Amino acid sequence: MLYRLVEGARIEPLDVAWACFSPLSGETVLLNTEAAAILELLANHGPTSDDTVARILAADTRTDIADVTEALRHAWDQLIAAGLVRTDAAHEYQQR
Amino acid sequence: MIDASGSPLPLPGADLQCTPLPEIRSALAGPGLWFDYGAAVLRVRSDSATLAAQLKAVYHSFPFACRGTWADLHVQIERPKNLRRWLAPQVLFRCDSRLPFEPYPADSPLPLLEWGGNWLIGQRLHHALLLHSGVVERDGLALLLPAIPGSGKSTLTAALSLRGWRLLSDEFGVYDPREQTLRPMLKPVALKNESIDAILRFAPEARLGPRFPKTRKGTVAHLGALADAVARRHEPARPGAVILPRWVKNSGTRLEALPPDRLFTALAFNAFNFTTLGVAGFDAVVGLLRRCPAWKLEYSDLSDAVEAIGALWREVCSRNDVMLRSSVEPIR
Repeated sequence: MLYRLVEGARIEPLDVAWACFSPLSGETVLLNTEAAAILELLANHGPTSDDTVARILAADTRTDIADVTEALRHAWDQLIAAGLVRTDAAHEYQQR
Repeated sequence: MIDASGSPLPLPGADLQCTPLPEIRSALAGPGLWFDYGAAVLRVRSDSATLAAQLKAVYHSFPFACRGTWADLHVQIERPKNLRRWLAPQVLFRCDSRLPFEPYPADSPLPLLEWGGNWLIGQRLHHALLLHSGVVERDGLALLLPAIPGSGKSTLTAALSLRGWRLLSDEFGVYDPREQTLRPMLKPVALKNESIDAILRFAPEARLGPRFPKTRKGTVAHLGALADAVARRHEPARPGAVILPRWVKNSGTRLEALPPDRLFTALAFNAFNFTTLGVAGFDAVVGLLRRCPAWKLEYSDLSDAVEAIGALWREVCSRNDVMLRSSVEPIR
């Protein structure tokens, strides 16, 4: 499954955290490094699978891919709940 | 000058302290009194026996205005029509034919007007970001003092306003995202409990209104804005710095740089309408964050705290000069 950054989302770095605004939920959340890394990657690469995100981040940070996948596991659900990330299926449904 | 009934009218431009009480009462009972706070105008009408004197004491330097072209808020402070008019008398806050609050004792119409007015401003004025913050100005730059209730925000705001800083607001930091300025919302500073005597010890000349005991926040007294602040209530100020104050008993005065995530939280999640404004609110807070250096201040002695802020302000001003000269986006 592919994930994409919600159009119009705002991301502001705050040293140890990131403030993010979702135009879908109208809410602002503070994100940790892992979640912000996902958003940054989706912003740069466009729609990407969770496996690919984990692989790229593991390569960038020279970390074992299993560790990265585990670290990101909960972040995906939270990013979707915050209205910052959508699955491609949800995006296509809305386009129709 | 006299009106149609032969009564003398106050001179145009006269402030409330120079206006006879019967005139104020008559305006309240008739067309209403109009208070231009700067960022908003409130029109109040009332049949309360005591409100006129309380307004005169606290809004002493505001112009006596019984007509206007526009008011953002129209409210009435009125006596109930039932038995409570006579038995343990009360006053009610009415707005748009609704009574959003519980009644207050009849001798406390001013706190009801102030809290009711604040509530309405927080509910309705969404053309600007309404930060929960004291704001004072010096050298053209605004100092924001956002804080949670009980942190000593109002006390420090009052103290600074009595030491040459121009008061813009005690409760609302009205940030105009388009102009990138802070606009005055010049309501009186509401001092509570120990803060009242703390301010009188700090500045015995301070003109406080009457004390209202047993309100839901304890004893409250209001410090009215000085004449200069009233005269300049349409003059905005550029954001200069943010200080997050916290009064701690017997502590020394300590200023410490505030990390950006703490600053973001203090500004955004304490604002009255951050969520309502959506992306505009987010962008406004980020704009302030990029522009303003921030500190947290722990204090117990008001004079020390005011002195420390004064010393810090020289640094803020010179930093701002550099920013203006370089004409580039400020970097935190």
